[in-house]
Amino acid sequence: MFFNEKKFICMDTTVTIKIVSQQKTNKIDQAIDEAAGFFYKIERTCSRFDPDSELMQLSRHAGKSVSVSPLLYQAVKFAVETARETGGAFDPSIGRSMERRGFDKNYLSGEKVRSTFADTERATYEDLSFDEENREILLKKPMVIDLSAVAKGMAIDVAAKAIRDEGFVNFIINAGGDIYAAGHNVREKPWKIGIRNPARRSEWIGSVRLSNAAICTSGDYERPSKVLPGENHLLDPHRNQSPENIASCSVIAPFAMLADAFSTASFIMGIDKGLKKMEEMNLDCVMITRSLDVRSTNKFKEKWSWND
Amino acid sequence: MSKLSPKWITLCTAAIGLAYTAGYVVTEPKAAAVSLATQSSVQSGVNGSQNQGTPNSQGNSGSQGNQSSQAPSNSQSGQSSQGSSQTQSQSGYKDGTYTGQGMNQIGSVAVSVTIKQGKIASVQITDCTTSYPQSAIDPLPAQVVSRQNANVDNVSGATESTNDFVTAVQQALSQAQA
Repeated sequence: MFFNEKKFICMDTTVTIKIVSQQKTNKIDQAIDEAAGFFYKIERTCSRFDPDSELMQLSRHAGKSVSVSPLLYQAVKFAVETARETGGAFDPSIGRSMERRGFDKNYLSGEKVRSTFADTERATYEDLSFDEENREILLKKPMVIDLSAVAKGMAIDVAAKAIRDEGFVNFIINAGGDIYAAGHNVREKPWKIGIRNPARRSEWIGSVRLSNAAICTSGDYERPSKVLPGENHLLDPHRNQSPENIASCSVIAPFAMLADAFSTASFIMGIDKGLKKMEEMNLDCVMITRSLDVRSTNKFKEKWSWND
Repeated sequence: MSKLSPKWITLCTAAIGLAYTAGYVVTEPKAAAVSLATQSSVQSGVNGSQNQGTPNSQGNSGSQGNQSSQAPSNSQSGQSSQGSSQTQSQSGYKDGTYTGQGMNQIGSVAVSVTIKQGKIASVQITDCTTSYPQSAIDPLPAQVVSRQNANVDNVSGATESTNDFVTAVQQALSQAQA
């Protein structure tokens, strides 16, 4: 058993890709580089911090149907479907609110974005409409689309597909705690994934064993607002504030994009509603409350070999 | 994993497939590899030098000698004891028929997988719209049944179709996981 690992910076986080293989081969490096290329491509297309990204070009063209790339179409479509599923608890139209809450800096250039064009009206996900046939998206009101809870998961899934297509079945992709684990680790065991203790961040509150599944965690400790004390990057669009009581929410799903979007969505929905929604969708979820109680969907602990 | 609705499977599969097809960017100054490690491990592994068909816990065919055919019990951490940590996915398939789909630039492969008594009883290719004839991947369903996992041999010249088939089977199996 050999493994090779690479780290790179993308989407304002460190991405680590590790491939385990029977043979030592240059193909591992090539596969990781290709996977990284997909991360960069998706970042470039879906970033709201880059005025030239395809996403921002679309955002600036409210009022008319815009033809977009398949990648962007699918990402926005997925975000809006998630919004519909959660009655707007998750809402991709909140980009401008996020800017105002201090999440406005391009981590690569250091430049701040200020999309005042979106200040005229209050928009929601219902102001986005899709023309499937012509692959066009219409913004009925000006808005900044925020795909930060979709793009990373999507990049992980596409990277995983690229690595699989190179013939590897045992690997792990970790993008700042959003993880897809395929096959087994170098000790031929399912990958062990720790879930951070929100109060003592160097410690785990528990761990799970994953194989061919993704886990993504939304934590209130991860990105505090520099503008609003006590607020963080998780915004409840209905109340225009960060949810209380819940410290972190992890979702396990067959796809990272599902785990990513729904860890954010169920965090915002809160403990009871969020867990209920996850049960309903047959996704697995564990939430840590601010008082460090562990709450999870039925059978979560047995299913994923929870170890605390 | 329990059954995820087909709607979400389709949304994810389409997004991933199309983003993959769109290709990637090659140059990126930040793409510096921070660390690069190659290690050999002491694990000898029972299954020697199989090509890419390494034991994949989608239901590996017992290469770790785990004979349990019941749904494995809870929270085995398997830290030290060899072969105890293949979690629920080893044999915990739920009976029923599950579908999955894999796609690429030129088409897609859809399958239907039937689980009986926790085992993969049959696999059918329900749709094949790739540029290769379906006959290229006709032998694959039998391999899945005999190996009880999605690790089929690559079909030379029809890699895409094979990958799609594997993706489709994995997707079906992920729904079948108890």
